[in-house]
Amino acid sequence: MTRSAVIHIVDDDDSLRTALERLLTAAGYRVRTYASAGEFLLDPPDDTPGCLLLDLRMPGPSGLDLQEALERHEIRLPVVFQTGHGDLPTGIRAMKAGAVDFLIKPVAREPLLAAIARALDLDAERRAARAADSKLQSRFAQLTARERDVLELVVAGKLNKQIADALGIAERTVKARRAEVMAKLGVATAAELGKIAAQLRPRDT
Amino acid sequence: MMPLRRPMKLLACMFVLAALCALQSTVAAADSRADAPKAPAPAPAPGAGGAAHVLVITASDPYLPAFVEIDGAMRAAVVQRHQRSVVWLYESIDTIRLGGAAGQELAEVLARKYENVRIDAVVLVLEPAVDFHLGYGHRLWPNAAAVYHFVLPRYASELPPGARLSGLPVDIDFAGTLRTAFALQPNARRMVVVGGVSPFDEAQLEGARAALLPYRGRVDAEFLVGLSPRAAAERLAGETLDTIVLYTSLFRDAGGQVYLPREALATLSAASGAPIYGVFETYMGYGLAAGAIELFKERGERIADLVVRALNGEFASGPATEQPLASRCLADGRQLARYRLSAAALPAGCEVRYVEASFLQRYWWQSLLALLALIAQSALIFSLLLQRSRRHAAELGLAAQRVEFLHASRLAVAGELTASIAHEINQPLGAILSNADAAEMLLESGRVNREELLQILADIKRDDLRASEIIKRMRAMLSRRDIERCRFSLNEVVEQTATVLRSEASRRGITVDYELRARHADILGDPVQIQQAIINLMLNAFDATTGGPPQDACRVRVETSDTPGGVKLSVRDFGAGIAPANLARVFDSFFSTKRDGMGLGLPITRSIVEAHGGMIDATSCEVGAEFRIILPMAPVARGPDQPMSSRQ
Repeated sequence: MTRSAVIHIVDDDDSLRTALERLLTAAGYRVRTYASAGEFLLDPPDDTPGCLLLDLRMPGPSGLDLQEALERHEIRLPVVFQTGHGDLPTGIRAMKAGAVDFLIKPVAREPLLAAIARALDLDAERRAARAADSKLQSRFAQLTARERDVLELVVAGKLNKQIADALGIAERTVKARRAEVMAKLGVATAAELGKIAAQLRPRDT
Repeated sequence: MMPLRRPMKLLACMFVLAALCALQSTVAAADSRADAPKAPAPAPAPGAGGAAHVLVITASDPYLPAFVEIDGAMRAAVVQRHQRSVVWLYESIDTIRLGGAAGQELAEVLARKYENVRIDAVVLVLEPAVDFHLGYGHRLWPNAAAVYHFVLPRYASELPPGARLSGLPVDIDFAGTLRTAFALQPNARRMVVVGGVSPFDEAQLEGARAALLPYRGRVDAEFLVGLSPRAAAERLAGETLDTIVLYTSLFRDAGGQVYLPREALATLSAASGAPIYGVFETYMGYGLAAGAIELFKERGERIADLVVRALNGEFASGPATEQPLASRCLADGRQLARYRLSAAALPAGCEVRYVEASFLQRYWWQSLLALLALIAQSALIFSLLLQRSRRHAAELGLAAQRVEFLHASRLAVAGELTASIAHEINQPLGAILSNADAAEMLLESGRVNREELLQILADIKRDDLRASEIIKRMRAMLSRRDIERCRFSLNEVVEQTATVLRSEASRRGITVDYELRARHADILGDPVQIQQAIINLMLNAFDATTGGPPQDACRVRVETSDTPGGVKLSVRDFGAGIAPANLARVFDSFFSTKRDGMGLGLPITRSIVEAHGGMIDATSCEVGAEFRIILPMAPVARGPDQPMSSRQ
């Protein structure tokens, strides 16, 4: 497990913050603490894997405010919320915004560590996805403009002959460019090619 | 007019006749004027020969009370019953006191005295008078019919057969008197008889002795005869209720001193240790306890009947004797009370005289009136007391209700604050739990750092205290308690309120600025209530703020300052403000512009402020609103035992 991950605790309550720090340190995590949302944003974390343990209610910007701000600051750490008094609307709002969990204080060790573990798993997952995604992007970047045209039509389900007609090139040339595309993107079959194209598409549009 | 004329003439004739009669007999006329002043010129009835002359001869003191009473009753009755007017003539031969016999000399005097008077009837009182009449009457008043009375029955039965006499003997009822005495004193063992030595006295004693015969053996009898009343009284003073004293009469003692019997009785009674019984009505009221007694008025009337018959010439020749009068039982209530004798023991029909009328008997209607007034007054007092106690109970009830109400409204506020209270308490609880978990994990891992564990324990304790502090604070605010009155600082209460509401403000994202500038912030009252008032105003401001524009307007300002004679607290928000139309109604109960507002917060606040002698007002500002409370300053002098604040 990623025990080297950093848990960022944002809580205005000094005592609770210290206690959580102790607990998570004892559990083998690295911990960084912040007394307010502003303090966190002033000293944003590097790309180290980890997660945020956020107090929902704080003076000034609340936990929800910080959650919103993370997006703007391109901080993609999963968030676990803690609150002294859970009310359903706030919980729903937090979960909708992508929170991993919504814990009601006082939080026992097991659910806390479980939530943290889930958040870190999610972080790892997201990091892996982001890594795969960026590899694909870099491969895609190697394609020439003509190869991209061919790829587009292949993904759209056109036959080689139709592609040749559409692009005004020889069917043989279509086949050669198609092979080149598959080689550059590292796929063996047309089906795989379709799958990768589907992953790429949202970013293109 | 004519029918009246004739009687007038007749009356005039009669006057003339009477005048002639008067001239004919000057002596009689003189006597008539002296003895019958009521009828100075009595008009003779038709068919009668002028006024009748009745001569009364008594053997007693003519002013003897008994005689006066009988004589008065007799004369009154005769006047009523006889047509002619009567001229009463009196002679006293007074032998009953003085003894001796009236004889020849008196007869001669009387013959001369009544030479020109026709005596129509004579009334003879007591035996000596009858004796005198029998001796000289046929010469002195040959035409007169004689009526005798107050003679003993035995004497009457022995009257000579030729005498034209009619009379009413007297049956002196010693036997009845003794029966009455023994009825009252059934345990009496001794009897004392008191009497005098005049012939009348001796006759009475003889009667008493005869009556005593049946009691011989049952009682010891002692006779005190001839003693002076004073000496006899001394003897009686030693007697007890075992003794019956029978008083006959005491006209004269052995020393020759003459007394009025009833006055002698008064002397005896004043000293006597035993009740005194007697037989004459005139003794009543002079110390006689009881007796079987003949009524003198009755006797007088009966004699009057005889006199009228005598004047009408209805007497046959030869003596006639009327049946003596029956005695009546008479008793003196005062004497019965004095000797503690029960009136219930008296023979049936006994007349108890001189019963001391009790106060209620004498003043019954005044007493009734007073009683009614008393009852009315008591009822009034009672109803006033009742009313007072009811009002007091109502006041107490009202005060209790107010306490309940304030408490309920604090509970409602606490309900509103649930979220922040839970948050506030869960902070330290969460810290405690996490610290404990951390310590556990440290111990599990074996990487025990003693310093760190100690630090964790210290933190746990601190957080525990923090949590209990919050609970204590809430409990102080929420406990059901009576209204107290102490001296405290408004600034301190505002600070405590700030602690209570800090979390709520944070939950709502509101910043509260406190400016406690009052330097003389001491007031008198109930700090919990004042805190309640401040909380109400601040929550009101929070509510107003939440609806207002975001961020920079999200603040509330709480301020204290000095005012002349008081302390001012103002709570200012920068929210929506108060519509002018609502400004006058914000303190009304159940008035609220909030969707789920009860409309009780501000009215409660006002009632608390007014109960503390303060005032409250609301102003709508350009942005937001301001509520101001002014509370009177506590007196400057501060007692050493008066705490600054009742709360810790």
